[in-house]
Amino acid sequence: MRPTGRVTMPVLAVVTAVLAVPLGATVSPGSPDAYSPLEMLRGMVGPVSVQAVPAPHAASPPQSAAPDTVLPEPQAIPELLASGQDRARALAGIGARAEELSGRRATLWIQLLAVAEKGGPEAGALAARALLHADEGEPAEGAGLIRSELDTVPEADRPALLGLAAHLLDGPDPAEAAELRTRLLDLAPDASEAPEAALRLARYLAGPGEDRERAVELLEELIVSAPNHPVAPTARHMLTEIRRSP
Amino acid sequence: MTRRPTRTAGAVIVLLLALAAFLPLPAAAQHLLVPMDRPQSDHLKAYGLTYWVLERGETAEWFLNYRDGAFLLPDSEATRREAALRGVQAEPVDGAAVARIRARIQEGNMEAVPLETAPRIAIYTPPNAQPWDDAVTLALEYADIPYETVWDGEVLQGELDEFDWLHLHHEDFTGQYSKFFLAYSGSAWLQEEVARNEEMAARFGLDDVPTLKRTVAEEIRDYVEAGGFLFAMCSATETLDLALASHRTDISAAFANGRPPAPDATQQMDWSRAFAFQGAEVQTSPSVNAFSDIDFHQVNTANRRPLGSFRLFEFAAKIDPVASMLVQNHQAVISDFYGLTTSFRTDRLKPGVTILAQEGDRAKYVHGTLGEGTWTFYGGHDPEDPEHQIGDAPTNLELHPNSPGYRLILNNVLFPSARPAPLRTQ
Repeated sequence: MRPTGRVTMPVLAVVTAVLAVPLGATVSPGSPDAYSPLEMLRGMVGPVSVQAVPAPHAASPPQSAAPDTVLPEPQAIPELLASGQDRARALAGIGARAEELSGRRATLWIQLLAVAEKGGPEAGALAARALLHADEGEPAEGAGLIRSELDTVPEADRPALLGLAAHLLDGPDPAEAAELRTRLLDLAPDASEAPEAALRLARYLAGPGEDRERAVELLEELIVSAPNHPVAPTARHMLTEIRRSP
Repeated sequence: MTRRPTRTAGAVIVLLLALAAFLPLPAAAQHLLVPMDRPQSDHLKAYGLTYWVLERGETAEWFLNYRDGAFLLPDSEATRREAALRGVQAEPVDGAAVARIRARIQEGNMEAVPLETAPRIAIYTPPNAQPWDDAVTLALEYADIPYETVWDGEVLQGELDEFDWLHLHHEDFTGQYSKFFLAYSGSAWLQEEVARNEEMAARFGLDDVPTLKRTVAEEIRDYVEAGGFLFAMCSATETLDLALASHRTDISAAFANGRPPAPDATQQMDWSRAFAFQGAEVQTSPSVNAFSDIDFHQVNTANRRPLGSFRLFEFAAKIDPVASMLVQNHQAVISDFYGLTTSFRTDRLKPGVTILAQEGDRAKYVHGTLGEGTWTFYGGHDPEDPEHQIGDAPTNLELHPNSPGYRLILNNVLFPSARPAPLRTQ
């Protein structure tokens, strides 16, 4: 089942929040500046009651939580998303999982939240399965899963999945991550994931032995097409640095 | 025969107009207005954008006192792209909007000044200087305005004629190495500076470094007199005038030329040669790190005065567009900042010097003319580093894109673009 119009604005809020995370920065639950995915989720799903499973960093249960509603285990999330029967509970589970984690891993789960909110059940389930691989220390396998099953999800959901797969590969295989971002930009240059993908791809291409000219092109296109996007200031800074460097 | 529009055609027009309202930018406005008031995202790069337009052979206008000194640029896809790349806010405006702005300018203390040429810029700086040694270099680098560097050799070979605008690095034109011998005599960088200057003096057959610097100062004076634009900051302001006025005496400490200064040096000064100052007492003691009593703040002496804020004057834009151009800013009161010369005692200014900004009874920013040219002196070293010390990290202007103190520097850079056409005489 596709998301309804009721959640459009919260979705935008989540996407904006995810994009607003500085590149390379991490989200640290508990820090004053950290945003709480669970809090955002509560805002999104409105009356749906959730009860936090005890976890080191879990937020205290909301006042409106129904006593018989428990958050799913992470392993159950793909199935819940795929079935479409208990999507709100799955989303709450993703949010809770993000709160349990810290740093880059938390960021990935927040990204999953955006994919699951915005995309169809197949996309959400595939992304969740990929992240479970990452949780087990196998991010490349997670990315491989997305790559191999990408054709099974609707076209509109593919950019978000490619972006997530590229994130999974940033550490273990940056070249492959760059290839996925190139594919994302070819497939959907106007997708909401495109600016961040372009920025990260440019950062990779500006590295030694890569394609600096293409990096400059990407940054210029990004800035000109989205001058007020949250990543535009970083793109301008990067462009200046690339031009200054010998 | 005139065809009357049909109802269908009218509906199409209404539909098109309605659609146009949702476009992010008008497809083709006639101009781009670059506002310079507080909402401008990057004031400093806005100057670079305007320079870029001029460099392409196009013309622009500077709306003095309108939205704190907005620029009007011809609209084009390329200019919009450049504005976006630089992060400069630019608003498309059509002919009717420009007409309304001109009407406002006509009514108020405002003026529209055409900008016609991209000035050729030279910075007088030693060959080994780092960009962060000099606020002007930092500003030009950040705003992406091209410049060339010159030093004593180029000046003495007459190369200043190739430039419209000359900025002086914080040079000590008295040839005393900023009196850094007091604190840095063992430093490798100072020894290197001494060797480089002595070598330059020998190359041009001059007796010593103070003579070299005074000769360079005279060349700079000739450059201005012939129509050049001079902008100096920090110690270059004070020492340039001291060098020019000391042509018949010796004001330099023994460490600079091997001789003690003349005991009556102050009395022998010829201020008629100077740009801005007169009647100053020369500081000839080698143990006092000051050049004269022109500077009010005396930063490296026991008489050091604390920093305050300086206020920009507002000038009548239609009557005095030059002074108005130099003070365009989104902030009238600016925090002061030290330099080897921080501010100028007003009782040491020549009559006719225009004070552009003042802090109490001392001037921070002054302007004047000499012959066909003009000069502007701005006290202090770095507007965003009030207590700049040798070895400090460079100022990162990405953190200060709206710096009002740096804006004053860039006003000077564009000022030569507005050179009025020569008056036609019978």
